[in-house]
Amino acid sequence: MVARGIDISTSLGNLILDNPVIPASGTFGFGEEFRELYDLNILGSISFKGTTCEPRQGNPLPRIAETPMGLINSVGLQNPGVEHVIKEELPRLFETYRKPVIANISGFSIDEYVRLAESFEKVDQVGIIEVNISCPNVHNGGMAYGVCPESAAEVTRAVKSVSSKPIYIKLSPNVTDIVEIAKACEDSGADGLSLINTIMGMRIDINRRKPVIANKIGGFSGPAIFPVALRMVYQVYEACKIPVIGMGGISSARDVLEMMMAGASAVQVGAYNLVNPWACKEIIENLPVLCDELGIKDIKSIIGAAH
Amino acid sequence: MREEYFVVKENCMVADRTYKMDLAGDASGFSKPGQFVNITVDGFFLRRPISVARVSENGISLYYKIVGGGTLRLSELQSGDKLNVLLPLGNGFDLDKTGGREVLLIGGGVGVPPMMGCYEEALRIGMRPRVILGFNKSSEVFGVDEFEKIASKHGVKPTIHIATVDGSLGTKGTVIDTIKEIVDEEKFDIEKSYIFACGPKAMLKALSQLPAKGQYSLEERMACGFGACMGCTCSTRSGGKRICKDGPVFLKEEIIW
Repeated sequence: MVARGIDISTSLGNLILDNPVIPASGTFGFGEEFRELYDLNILGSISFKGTTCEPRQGNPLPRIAETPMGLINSVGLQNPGVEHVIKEELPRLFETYRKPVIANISGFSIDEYVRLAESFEKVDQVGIIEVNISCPNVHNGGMAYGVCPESAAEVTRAVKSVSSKPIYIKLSPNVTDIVEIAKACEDSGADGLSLINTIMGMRIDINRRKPVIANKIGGFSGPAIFPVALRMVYQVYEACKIPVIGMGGISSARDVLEMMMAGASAVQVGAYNLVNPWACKEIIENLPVLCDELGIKDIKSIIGAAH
Repeated sequence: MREEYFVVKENCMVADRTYKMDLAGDASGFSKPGQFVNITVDGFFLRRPISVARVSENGISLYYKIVGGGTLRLSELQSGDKLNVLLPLGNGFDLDKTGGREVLLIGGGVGVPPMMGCYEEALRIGMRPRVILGFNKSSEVFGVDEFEKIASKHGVKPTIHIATVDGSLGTKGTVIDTIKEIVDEEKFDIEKSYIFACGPKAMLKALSQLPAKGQYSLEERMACGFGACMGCTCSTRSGGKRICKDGPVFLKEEIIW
């Protein structure tokens, strides 16, 4: 069934997206594994693999543990480093993908965040810089900046001062009050917010009496965390004026609408790509059908509708 | 890679907690033995990666051991049940790399099944490999009949050695002890042999210390199984490699133990 006359386009500031569905960083690589499965150009955008200044091998194995309706990962920002990403990975992605992408960056110091933002400033097809201050899987960096308002603000200001591109700060749910952090980012000039990153979690192997994951603790994602993500997007939308990209456990068109009604202007699909590689495509195809069923003519009209 | 629905034809216990499952469906696209599939199991978020034992025109055979809730659920499936399967995954064993050496196919526990596909392919291209299978005890032994079936299909008399750690069947000890026996009793020249192996990491590591070339299939907890999540990347001598996509089979010289 094709639903006609339904507008599923949305916008993040001045950036218009054909639809609100974006694969989340770390679950889609640089699109390489997915481009043989479907035309990537159907996607609203792509948030590519979290990039650091230097190449990173990532954490020891095992890095994956299953949970009811989710998984825990401790990949640890494995990536080939910003130089290689700009020289090799992005040109390959841009051979296929013609729309603006989201550059997800992770630093271990304010300087590194600045260097990364400067590097992607020169890449025209980067439409948004998503500043990850919330990776739970690396020490002395990443999440350290995301757990207090002052340091979140400091990163935001530093990145804003060197970049003309829209800056979205990716927030951690592993905080007492996410609204406080969100406001600190907004007050420091952030153009938008991405939430949530993974929730810290763990599993123990009862045979070995040891944590399943080599790094002991990892980031919990998947449909199990959807209600937590939804609640946080709802609260942040209420307190902030800048656009929110909502993510955390989205696995269906219904979840997309729910997240948008909570206040998200666009959404990211993460863990679900890993078990259904056609997830984003199926969700995008289902969106107009579901909107039609619910009498939604323009998907933008439901942003924040639940408030 | 594609997604297919397969129908369970048979799902029966073949040894302690070990099951053989025959699935009917479009199994086209497998190019090498040692590739795997990733199966959706009702009620579990992640798929279950399982190596393919044999591929036929109308389906695939798999073996799995009950090690947790997911494989327990698999064991409860009845013939006629449908499964969502991602395939074909992984690189598989490259049988063209043996350089005419005498071939040993070595499987340990649930590492035995991919050796069946290797055996079939090896016989098909005219090799006459020895098969060495290692288990903990006789009640865990499975697959011998399958190797015999493959051999008889090709009119070959199979050479199958079995080792059990408790000595309840075959050589007492591990596959390494079996190899020592063959070397001592039959003057087998291990330096002129080529090993294809799949099994526990300790077994593979011990094999790697023998002066034989070879290819080893590694196992790791994975999320996607098709190279997207970086959940199973291991360090190799040629950099970080995804066990699911760049492997699971690696040349011995690439692996860092």
